[in-house]
Amino acid sequence: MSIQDERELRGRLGGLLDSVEAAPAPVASAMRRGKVIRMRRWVSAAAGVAVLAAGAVVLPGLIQGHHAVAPAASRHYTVTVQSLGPTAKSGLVGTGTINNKRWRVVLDTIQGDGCSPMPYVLTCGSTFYGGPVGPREVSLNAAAANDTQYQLGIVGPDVTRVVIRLSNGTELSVRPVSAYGHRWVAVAAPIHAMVGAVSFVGGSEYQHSVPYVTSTYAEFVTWLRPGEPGLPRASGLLGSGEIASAKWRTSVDAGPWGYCVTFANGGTCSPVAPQAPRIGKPLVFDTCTLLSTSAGKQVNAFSGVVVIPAGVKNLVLKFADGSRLRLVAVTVGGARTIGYGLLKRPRVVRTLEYGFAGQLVGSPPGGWGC
Amino acid sequence: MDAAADAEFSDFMHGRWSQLVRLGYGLTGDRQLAEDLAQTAFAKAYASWGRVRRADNPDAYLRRIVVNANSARFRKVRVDEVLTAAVPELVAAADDGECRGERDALMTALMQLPSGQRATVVLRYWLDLSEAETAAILGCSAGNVKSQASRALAKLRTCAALVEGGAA
Repeated sequence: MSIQDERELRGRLGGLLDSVEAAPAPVASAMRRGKVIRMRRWVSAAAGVAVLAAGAVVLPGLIQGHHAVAPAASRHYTVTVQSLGPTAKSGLVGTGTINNKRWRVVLDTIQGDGCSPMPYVLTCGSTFYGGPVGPREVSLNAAAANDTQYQLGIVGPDVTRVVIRLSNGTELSVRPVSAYGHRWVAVAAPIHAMVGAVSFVGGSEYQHSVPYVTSTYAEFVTWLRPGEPGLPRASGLLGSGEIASAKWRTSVDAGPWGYCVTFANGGTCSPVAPQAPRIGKPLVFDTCTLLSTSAGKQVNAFSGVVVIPAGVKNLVLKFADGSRLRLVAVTVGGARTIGYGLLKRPRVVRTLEYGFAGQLVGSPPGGWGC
Repeated sequence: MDAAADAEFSDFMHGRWSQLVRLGYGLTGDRQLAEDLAQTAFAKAYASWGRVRRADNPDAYLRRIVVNANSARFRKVRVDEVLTAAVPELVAAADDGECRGERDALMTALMQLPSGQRATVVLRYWLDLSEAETAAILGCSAGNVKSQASRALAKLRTCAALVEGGAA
């Protein structure tokens, strides 16, 4: 036996590694270790904050006042941001106060692409946002610790500032700060306080974003041009069924933030921006997960949501064994949407697209699964 | 993290655990070590769960941790472990003798590759990742992945263990 080509090597490696039976996943143990890692990060960052706080006492004149906007009297918090120069010093890309306590967002090289959120201090790796953005785009990522939420992101070269709107009427205006080859914006506010964002190119508003608010923070995912309405708000059950005796259900929460999809008992959902409809792989959201039967048996599932184009009423999946599955579309926020749950490797050989008159309008090959 | 996030992490881990252990096994040839590497990766993912769950490709993140943790293991081995001349016993699923022989031979051949080439082989040819995806995980260029894969394949083609294993 010898390896002659890549395909043969793939086959032999599959035979070797796919046969390895892993012990049950030690979820509780991994969580415990993860908590220890977070605690170590917290202790190390807290030590740094203590040093900085001591410095602030000695040199109070170095920390200037800024750009504060008075909060509405009906809301019991005050948030400010401090203007920084065009280039970050010591990795500081955002600072200000929440109820007179200083918050800071700092980049460093030690964190790699990781991030350690703590109350009032967010420390992220300098490669935290490696992804490119368009010249006029904004890409924000959220983090939270206790009662503090953060937005940290990069902006394109044409973006002059980003304004974060708070529920008490405050508008936090931040100008990009250059560091590690990107232009960064960073803000902090109390949990649930962020209700909108606006980006500016030159002196004009370029895009705005309505966040999806999770239990901890706001997620700005979809950016709309002025006058662009975004998806209408709608939510509901997209589909439900059984896979090998394991029950599943998919629900969606659509709105100007995009789509937020929850599958089975899959926990919290992350919003995703609306996408151009494409059948087959076009998923607004898809994932491989495990479902449990009532008897406790676990089933590998592939699930997701597909938005189907106008002119297509429903889909029928044709499987390799000849069986078929009809997927029924539901209209959500004006989009015809299908939520589905399938076995992990469903072996779909053909997707049959049917129009409103019941005619076959297309039959692209499979491509479902993960 | 709240209970919902914990439940989400639990689902995430259940869905990827086996594959990550197999990746670790491909890198180490030792199932115990493979499970340690996988658990390390998930612990780190849990520590940064808010960010990992929103990442475009959380699987790549986990794989990178496994590969890096395996490299770190080599650095530690010089200090905390005693190297022996004997090849560690390989764990393989019960099977007929011919299949097990082939698997053992392939694993022996894999373990004779330098760790970078071995990681390249497992990522490229078992996980079927592209050169760019492999490069991102290994932290090198796509060209480097190509040359590593080519060298590894050349070695495997001429590897005595594979030839002898096949004859067994």
